[in-house]
Amino acid sequence: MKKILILLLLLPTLAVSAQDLWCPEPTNRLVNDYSGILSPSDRETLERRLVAFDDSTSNQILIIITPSLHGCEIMELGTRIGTTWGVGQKDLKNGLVILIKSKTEEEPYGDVALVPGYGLEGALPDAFCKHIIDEQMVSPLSDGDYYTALTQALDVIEPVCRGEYSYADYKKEERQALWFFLGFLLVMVVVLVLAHQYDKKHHKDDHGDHFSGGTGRRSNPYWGGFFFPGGGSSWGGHSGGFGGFGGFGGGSFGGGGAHGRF
Amino acid sequence: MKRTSIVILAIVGLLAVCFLWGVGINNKLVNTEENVSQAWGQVENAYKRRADLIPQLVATVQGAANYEKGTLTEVIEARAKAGSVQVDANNLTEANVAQFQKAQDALSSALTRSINVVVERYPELTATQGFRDLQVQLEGTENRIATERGRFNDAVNAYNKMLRRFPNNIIAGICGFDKKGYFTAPEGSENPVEVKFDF
Repeated sequence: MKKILILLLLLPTLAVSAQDLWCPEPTNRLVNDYSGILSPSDRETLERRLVAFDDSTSNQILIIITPSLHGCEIMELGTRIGTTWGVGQKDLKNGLVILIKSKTEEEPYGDVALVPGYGLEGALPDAFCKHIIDEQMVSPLSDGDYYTALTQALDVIEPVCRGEYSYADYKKEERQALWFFLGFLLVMVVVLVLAHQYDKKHHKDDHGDHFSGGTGRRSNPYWGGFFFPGGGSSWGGHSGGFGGFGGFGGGSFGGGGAHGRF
Repeated sequence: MKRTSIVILAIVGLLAVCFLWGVGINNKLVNTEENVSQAWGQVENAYKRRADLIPQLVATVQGAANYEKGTLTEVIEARAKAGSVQVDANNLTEANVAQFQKAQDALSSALTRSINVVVERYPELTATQGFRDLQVQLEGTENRIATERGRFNDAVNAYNKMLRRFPNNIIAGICGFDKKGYFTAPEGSENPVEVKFDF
């Protein structure tokens, strides 16, 4: 009985997800090769390049290579992936999805799409995306050289996106958060100092010398704990330092861009 | 004397609670309605973008060597007609949305037919970069329209659901919230006319 109930509850959700709403599970990487075409070292190089680009400009470029579109239209799928994964910063909406459907025996055609988020539609208009695909990507892709296709495309895309959103734009927003945090810090310090002084006075008045040594020592972890572990890292940067990708920022997509067969 | 004042106090208290509860529901509905309006704005943007591309299409095709004036009449007329049907975001009734959609869908099919005619009649035009870019833009615009329409429908769905649920429907009735219309699949969409983008 319970099983039937659960099944009944699950049915509507199954019906929705069974429609053409396929979307790969979000990962914490910028290069996702589900076809296994890129060599590990090429994949690493691309990943490092995109992480560095994210760190220096806050523009996020996601690469997905998939053997099947699962019946979806490629532009629609690209838009959905961008929105679901949240590629780009939330406020700047500066994400880009490069989606490649590789040729397989069952589906012997290739398709590549460039899908910019709302914020990059100005830097990457549809016709320009199409030019990049036709001129930089289609020929190496049909030769099976995905790495060259991607690096050639990135060589064009990165300078354009950098012109649209520099790190300074991103920093401007982050700086406001920083000031807020510093203000908060100041208030906390004042409160703590007052509390500390009150505490000292209180103890002296009530208990005399007996507790005064203890109070002094007890206040130490207070200060240390406040300044060192929490303070530095919470506003230090949007992408956890060197090497790794710090996560997607929640950008949104409107369905712009272009695609081309190969 | 004392008892009546307690009763009055209790009633006043109860009324106050009811009022605050109603205000809460009202505010929730306002927020959801605002999402719908926002989504509608995006839908209008996407359609406007397409309308703006049509003069560009006309200009490009007019440059063709053996251009005949009648080629694009249909799409120009459909554009004018679609432009005349505007729906205010505060008035998204089912009838209004359906009317808006009808005009825009008429423009969609006119546009598709015209491009197919152009491709057939002026094959040399399709080789030019200008025409190709225009086609990419038109295709991108259709994608945007589909995306924003889908999001609008999702927003309306959330709003209508909230509206019809008990007890929200009582508050909605008092405060004058109405059901909003969806975009539906256009007639004949089961066998759509394909635009010849790949050639």
